[in-house]
Amino acid sequence: MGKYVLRRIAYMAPTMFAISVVSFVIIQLPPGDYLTQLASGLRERGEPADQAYLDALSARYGLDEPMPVQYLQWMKGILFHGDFGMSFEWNQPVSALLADTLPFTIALTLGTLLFTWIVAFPIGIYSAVRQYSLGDYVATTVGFIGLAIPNFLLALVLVYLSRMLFGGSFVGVFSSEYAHAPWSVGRFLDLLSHLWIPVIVLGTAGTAGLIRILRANLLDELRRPYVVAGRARGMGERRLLIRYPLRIALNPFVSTIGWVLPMLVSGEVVVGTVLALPTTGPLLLGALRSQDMYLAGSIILIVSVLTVIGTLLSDLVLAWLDPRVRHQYR
Amino acid sequence: MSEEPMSSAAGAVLAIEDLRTHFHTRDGVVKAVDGVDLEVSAGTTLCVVGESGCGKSMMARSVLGLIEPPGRVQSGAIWWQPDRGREGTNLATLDPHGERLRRVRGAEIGMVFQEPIAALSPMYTVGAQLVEAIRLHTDLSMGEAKDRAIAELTRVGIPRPEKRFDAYPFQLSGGMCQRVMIAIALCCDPALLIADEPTTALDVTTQARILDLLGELQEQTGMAVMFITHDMGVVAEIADEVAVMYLGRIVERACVDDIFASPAHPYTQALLESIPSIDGHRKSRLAAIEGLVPHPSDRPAGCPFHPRCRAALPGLCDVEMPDRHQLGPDRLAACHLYAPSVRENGPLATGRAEPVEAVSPTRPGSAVPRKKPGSVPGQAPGPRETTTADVDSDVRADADVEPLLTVRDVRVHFPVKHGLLRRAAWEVKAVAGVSLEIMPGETLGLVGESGCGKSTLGRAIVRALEPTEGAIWYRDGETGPVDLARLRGRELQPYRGKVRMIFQDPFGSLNPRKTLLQIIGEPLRRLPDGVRPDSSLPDRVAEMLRAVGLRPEYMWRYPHAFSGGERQRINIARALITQPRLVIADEAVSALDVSIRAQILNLLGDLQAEMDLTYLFISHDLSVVQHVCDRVAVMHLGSIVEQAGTDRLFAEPRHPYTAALLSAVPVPDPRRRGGDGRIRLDGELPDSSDPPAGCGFHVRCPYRREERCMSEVPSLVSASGDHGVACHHADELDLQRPSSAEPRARVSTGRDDGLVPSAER
Repeated sequence: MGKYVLRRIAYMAPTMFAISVVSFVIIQLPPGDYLTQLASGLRERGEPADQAYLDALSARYGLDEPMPVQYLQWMKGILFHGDFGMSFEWNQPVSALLADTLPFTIALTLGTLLFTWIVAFPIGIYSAVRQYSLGDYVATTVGFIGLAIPNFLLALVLVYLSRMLFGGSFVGVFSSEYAHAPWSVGRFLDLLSHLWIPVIVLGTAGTAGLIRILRANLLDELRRPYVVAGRARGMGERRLLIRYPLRIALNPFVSTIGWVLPMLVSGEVVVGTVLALPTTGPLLLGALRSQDMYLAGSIILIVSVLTVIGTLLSDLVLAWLDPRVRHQYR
Repeated sequence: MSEEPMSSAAGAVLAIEDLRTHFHTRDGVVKAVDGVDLEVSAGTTLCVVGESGCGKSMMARSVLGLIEPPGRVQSGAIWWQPDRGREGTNLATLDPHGERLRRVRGAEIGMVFQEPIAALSPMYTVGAQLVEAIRLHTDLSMGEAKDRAIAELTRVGIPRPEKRFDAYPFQLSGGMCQRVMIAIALCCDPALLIADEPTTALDVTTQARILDLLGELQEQTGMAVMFITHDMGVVAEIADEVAVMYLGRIVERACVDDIFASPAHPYTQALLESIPSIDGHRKSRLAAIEGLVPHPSDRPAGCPFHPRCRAALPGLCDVEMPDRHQLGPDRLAACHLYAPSVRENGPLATGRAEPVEAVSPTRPGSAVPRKKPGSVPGQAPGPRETTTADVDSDVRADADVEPLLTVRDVRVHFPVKHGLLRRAAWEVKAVAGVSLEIMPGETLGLVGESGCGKSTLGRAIVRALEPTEGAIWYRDGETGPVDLARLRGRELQPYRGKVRMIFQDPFGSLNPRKTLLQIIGEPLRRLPDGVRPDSSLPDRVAEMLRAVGLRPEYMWRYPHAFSGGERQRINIARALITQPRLVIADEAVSALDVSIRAQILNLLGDLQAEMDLTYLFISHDLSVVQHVCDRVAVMHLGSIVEQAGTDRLFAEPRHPYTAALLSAVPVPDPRRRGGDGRIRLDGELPDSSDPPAGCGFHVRCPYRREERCMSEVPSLVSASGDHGVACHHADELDLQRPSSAEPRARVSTGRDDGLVPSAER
């Protein structure tokens, strides 16, 4: 097992490298850079760009160096100083912007993942064990609706409904009275009262998908000879279900991290914007629009790395849970 | 009254009365079990035989309430009385999910299944599953249960049980897993063991040892056994009583001697005739039962067997369901032939089948002409117009005939990757230096246990694999000799059509998304002078379908519409469409039921004569190999240990491994049960990544000697004529009577993997 962990971590290195290169290429991809953007902006406002000023900026951010050198400088800053470069638009270090938004984004993502699991697990089991029952049909229908409705639409509907039913605004993270207050129980409860909308919006599609997957997997497992064999040796139905088929059908739950994470991250861009959440999503969108490429590239880099780490964790948990994985990939 | 009252006989632990298990599907009611009466007595073994789809498993599962929806036990009684002193229980009336039936399962009735590895959960160690079974029915603590579990593992002959306790099912062989299943089934000392085809998925040597084990355990515990099988050889080996089942009903019941000496029901007779017996006439046509078991939802009117019955009486059998007729004490047959009215009026005088009293030693019916199942319209011309029956093993003695294929010292090694950097740490020597010659027109058999490398060799010959070393010379008279082992990529294309393969698994080997036209026609397109899709392809596919006994219009259908036997015909058609010279049949009939197997073997024989084919017939089933092959090569651990003409090899095996394989084959004759001269191999095939030094067989060989066997690799020496054997002491061994030559005591071997401890006990 130790060797397996080591090897998997070693395998991550090339992936990480590829991600960083791709992120950097994305930064460099648009024609021109922030300076040309700045210059044209100045021109539009009728202020002639001061070439000396632009050159000074260019030298300061190393924009006139060849690409590989720029890449190395960028990586050096990230790895050794936690410095992701400057956001031109906000005129702040990228790391400071991320420190504001990333913790909340991670909390939201994990919360959504938990929501997905907690809802999908019992419904998936029920759907499989009582296949073709009324409950199964209901779960299936609701699941398909959840899959089919676009996130942003669901977000708008929920915001509208919550306003109609509970009054008050549920957009953003905190109500105005807690926005700048220090942490307290009241502030935390206020946070939770705002968080449920994005969690539901982000989690619905994943939950629906997971229910379908758990149902299909469990149905397969329920027909395996070892289930009949367990019954034939006198096991009770509930114990049999939990100990044998369910144990195997759990695998997709663990693997979800791998595919739910990227889905959440991309879904969060739209939902975060609609609900005005202080997450990385709206920040990324803004950065892409204004060609604030250091900010954009950094967000892409961090989100990708987090996804890779999440996938690694899910693989390790899978190996820990499933002896077949553990013993076959020693 | 000919109808026998099924009172529960004295001593019967289980008495099934008129059991009906029906499945209520959308397309109507499927009567899987439709009126079964049976009894199993304490200490005896009842074998239930019949082809797949006859409802044997469903009957057995009904006993334990294991029928899943939409099926249910419709009516009938299952009287369970393990204890004479106590009153019996009708299991059929118990709630399938209830506590009472759950206590019967496992504690009073144990069950063993066909696929041992699949019947154990891969998520838990075998020890954990065994402990769980023990603790379900006893009050033992965790520690006590573990001690008991290890004792059980020892009892079923698992070596080093403390270590195996912590193994996962997928780390054990099928035979070991079946022992674990038996341990689980017997851990609470049940009064009845239901074994549902427990050895069908196993090798013949493993099967022999599992059957021995069941016999020993039955002797120790006095339990009753209900053993379900389709193999009449196994029946002869272990049964006391036999029940023959067809389409959900028992058609004949008798003691085992009567079944084999004078089978009464035409179905029993047909089943017995379709076995390629080791004593049978080689290369003759097998008496296959016509057609297939119909699906229970379209059960024929009258006697369900009448469409396939050669003795069917028109106007009677196809109209009226036959009664059960008592033919003697404990003997029943459900057939109109034994109705008093039919007997008197004498349609039997036509000699189509004989009632039980008149059965002569030779079985009736073999003289009855019947339709060939795979009959082919039109004779394909061929230079060799001989029938297969004429091809004797001596044909190849002609010195001037050159072999079609010469395999020279071929090795196939697979690297095993290991460690952090996945370097090739060692190699599995699947084929470790094999030389063979295959003469044009002959059938060479290649036999051995699973894992011995026979399939790998076959794949190397069709160049699905690249041999690591060695040469495969192919010469067919058109071109000079070509070394197939040296050709790469496109150079191989001309030979892809000349050397073809038939695969084992009729379900996995056909792409479900393609029509038969695409599947069968595909090899033609791959040839250099390939047929263009537009032109004559459908014609050639139609012709080929006809040749394998299928209708040409089937070419537009997909494989799922066909049964296992039909799919194997499709497989054969795909192999033969390129007009090959050499066909490698890799376990081509192993997955098939006995009657279907007979049909396919007959078809292969017919096609060999018509198309002038040469076969390399890879199989672990020695009775089949003996039936179809001219010569046989025996493979063990990647090497050929013995090679000879079929008759010679089966009459006088000279390698101890061959002798052991032969004695593991169940003989369909109960009188020769447990006969002398049995050799049971200790342990399983050694790991081919770490083969033992010296003779690869020495760790399992009962005749192992200190000198040479453990240090020197024996080479294949042609002793007399064509009979080659790779054994240092072949000349000194008397393998015909091993029990007298050597005591049966097992030699303790250096490797304790898989030792059978019964000798030590």
